[in-house]
Amino acid sequence: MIDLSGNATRLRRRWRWAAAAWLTLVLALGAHQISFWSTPRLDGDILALLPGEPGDPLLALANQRIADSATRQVVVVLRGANWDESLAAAHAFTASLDAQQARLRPVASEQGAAAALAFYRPFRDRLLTPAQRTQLQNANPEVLAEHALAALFGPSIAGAISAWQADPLTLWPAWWQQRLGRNLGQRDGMTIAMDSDGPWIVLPFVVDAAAFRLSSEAYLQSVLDRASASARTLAPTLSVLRAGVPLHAEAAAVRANWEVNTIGLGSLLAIVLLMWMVFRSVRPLALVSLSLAIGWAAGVSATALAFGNVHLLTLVFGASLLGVAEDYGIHYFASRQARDAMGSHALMRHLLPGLLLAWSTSAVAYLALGIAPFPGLRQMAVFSGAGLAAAFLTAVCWFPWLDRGLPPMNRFGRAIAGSLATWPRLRLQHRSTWWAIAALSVFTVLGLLRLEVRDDLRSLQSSPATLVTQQRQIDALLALPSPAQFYLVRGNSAEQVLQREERLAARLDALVADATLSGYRATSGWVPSRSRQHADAQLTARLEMLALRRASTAVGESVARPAFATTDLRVEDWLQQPLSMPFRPAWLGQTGDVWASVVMLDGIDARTDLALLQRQAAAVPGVRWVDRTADISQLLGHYRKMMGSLLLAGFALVALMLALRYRSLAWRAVLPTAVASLLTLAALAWLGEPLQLFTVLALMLLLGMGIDFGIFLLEHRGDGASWLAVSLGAASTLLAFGLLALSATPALHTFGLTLLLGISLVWLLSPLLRPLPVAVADRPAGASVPIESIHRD
Amino acid sequence: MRDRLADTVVLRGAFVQEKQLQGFRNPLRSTGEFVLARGHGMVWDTRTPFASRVVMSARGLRVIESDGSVRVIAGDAGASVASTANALMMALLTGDTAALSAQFAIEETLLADGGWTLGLVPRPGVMSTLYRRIDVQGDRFVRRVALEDINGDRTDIRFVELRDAPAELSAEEAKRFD
Repeated sequence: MIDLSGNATRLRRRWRWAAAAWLTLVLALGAHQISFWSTPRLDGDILALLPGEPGDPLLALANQRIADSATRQVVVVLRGANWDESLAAAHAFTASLDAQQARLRPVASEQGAAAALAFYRPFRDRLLTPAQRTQLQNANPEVLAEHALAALFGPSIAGAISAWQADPLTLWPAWWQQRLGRNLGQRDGMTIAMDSDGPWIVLPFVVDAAAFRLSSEAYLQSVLDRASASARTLAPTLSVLRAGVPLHAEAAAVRANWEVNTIGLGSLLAIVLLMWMVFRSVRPLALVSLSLAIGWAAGVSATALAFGNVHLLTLVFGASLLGVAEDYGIHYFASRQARDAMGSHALMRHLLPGLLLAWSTSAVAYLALGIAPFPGLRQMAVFSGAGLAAAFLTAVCWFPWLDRGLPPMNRFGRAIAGSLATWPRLRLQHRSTWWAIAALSVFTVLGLLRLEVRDDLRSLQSSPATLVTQQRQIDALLALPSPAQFYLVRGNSAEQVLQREERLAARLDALVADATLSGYRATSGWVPSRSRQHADAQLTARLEMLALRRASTAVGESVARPAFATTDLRVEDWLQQPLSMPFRPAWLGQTGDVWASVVMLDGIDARTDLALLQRQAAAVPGVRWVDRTADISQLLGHYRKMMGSLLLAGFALVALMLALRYRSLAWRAVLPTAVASLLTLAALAWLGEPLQLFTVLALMLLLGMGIDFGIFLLEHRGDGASWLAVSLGAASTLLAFGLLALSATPALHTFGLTLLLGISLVWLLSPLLRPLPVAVADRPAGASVPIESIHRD
Repeated sequence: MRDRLADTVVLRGAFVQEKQLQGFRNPLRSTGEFVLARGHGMVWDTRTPFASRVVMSARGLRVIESDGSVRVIAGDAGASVASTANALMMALLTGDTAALSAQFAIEETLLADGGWTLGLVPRPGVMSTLYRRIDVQGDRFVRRVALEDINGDRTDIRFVELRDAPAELSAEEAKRFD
């Protein structure tokens, strides 16, 4: 079978071409890497991992707008023992940021307020709060006029925003107050937010646009910490809270940086150590490391090319790939050690079918991650597929050229290789075997009964608890709108959208009145529909003219009402104003024939009655209730079930294929992985880990990797040298996923833990079920040496 | 001037207010009574020509109309207007130059007859966005306050029948703060 001498030259020539071609690709990869890392397009936003809305482009647009609007905003709120202390602390805080030349710009509010007043002043006559509208419709005009005169003759109120004759019924301040939010105000030039313990000073900032980097330094956090410390010198009891997407993103980046380094370096160290112990030579180490570096770089580049950016979680997950991709190199060197006489090219050619099969089975398992429409999982699938391919090609194309032979197998290698022969076999005639099976069955059944299903969006989240707590406090204090629950309002014109918003708003006002809802934000609050503007302008004109006539009589001169705008207040003009900046994302404008907007809800929390909110949408045409959290949980659940079925189908398919080849022995290859999967699930349940999509996906990877143990032990009965190669690979795989289990991201933690348990169990169980060694005559011809045994673990 | 001014805890009296507003040729004259209590705030009762009561307190700024209806100009959080106006009126009527000097440049003149005047020009800050200048005149009590708003409106308030005894609010006076 191994007839190489005649073809050796041809083979080397062919290999030279392959090596050169791969070199070209690797050089291109290097160029792409340099350009990528000089301005890395890394993404730390958890929402970027979530699926879009393929069915509804408007909803996708709404989600995009909401996500984009928050990416650069940071809010700090602070409060000292009293107002003067808070004020001094706020000034010290901003002064410290200035002195640090922080990449945080305060959002100026004062000139903004003057410009906003000037923009709205001509339209003042048509801006009413719902309460005012009701009041004006029902009140006695004479009484209103008398109140107006009392205000005219009463004490002047400093800082009134309009002259008496321009707003005799003092309607405008309440309208503005409603726009600002009920518990927000201004004091001594500061924005304040009240809670039961008094005013907080609110300091909004915008983070200067800067590329998102994988960094070990929490820049914003340290800058804000120093500013807080500086403010505390003036107010020792100062409370400072901060919130904003950039802070979460930064924490995620720092965490991901740590995880990538830990998992990456940890796996690498393990591989280096194991290889050194077995091969005692630098060259295999260097070559395997090279294949890993190229594999990882290819993963990054392929992901960047396919998706435009690379998510941090992809990098973290990708780091664990090192523990899998090293197998090709290790297999090569393990066989090389055993078959030193065969030339390196001939050996590689001989190994090629096995390696290709090994690569393709794991690649398929990894690519199956991408079946669910989660961009995050698809990135991981592409990253892993490309990374494995590049590591594989590096080993295949280059190792025969660069390899210069190995010292013979040492004692450590022989010890592992020899361990297979002494590994116990499962003997069904022993009573203790049955006891063990019974105990494991009890463990498994009780565990599976405990298993809790959780299809929760939070499995992707890893923000530090302090940040989450502060975010929640600020959300409640400032009644920040929820990015996940909102109404999508559609119409055939801007006017119809605004009218529908107003109908919805009337229903929401009732919920706000009985405190079921803390508030909402609608564009129609800033720009009422044309029909409402006309009606309100008529209402105020009638009542205010009466007040002005009464004032004229009282003062003894004609008091004129200033002229208001003759045109309508329009959304497109409002959108041009600086004032509208924070609210623009909610106005989706025109898409084709459809106009749309988003009505955002404030202060949504666990106690909010979402079903009640959902019912409001049904009552107004063109309004759709969106609950992203529920949608995504549903999606996670759907794909958990679907991938679960695929997993079972995968087991069935593998069992069928193995049955065709191994007949009555096939169960020995399938059972270890099947039992390990069940035991893993049970163990996870006992550890209190819920069953989720990521558990099922991890079991899918387990099937892809674990079944090979059984195949190998059937294919090469009692072959110690291959057992060595597989054990080395398994050890580094285990370590990589064990380190991944340390990830702060629950989804990655689940992946890591499931595979750590699963692969350990398969590794222990497979040799238990191995058949007795058979006579040489039973084997395929010529396969008496470890060459044939090069299989993926 | 601090030596000449009585250290009042509760001050009550009558006022005559004349406002000269932009857009009005004639001044708007009103009369009424007020009570000011340190720690509580101030109640401003206009009696003529149209009755209304303005209560400035820690709870904000409320207008109580002649028919009893209440209008909240600035609630707890609208603290801005309320606390600014409240603190300023309190400081002006008690001649609290220490508090005023944080926000105003003060020109103090002592008169031979035991009286004094203060000329207040806002320092850059919130007050400079509200007032051009404020003049205060008094002796043992503050007798007159003249405010000139940034938009040109003027308010001239004369105080008469001022009494600082008793130093506590009577039950009837305290009720006005509710």
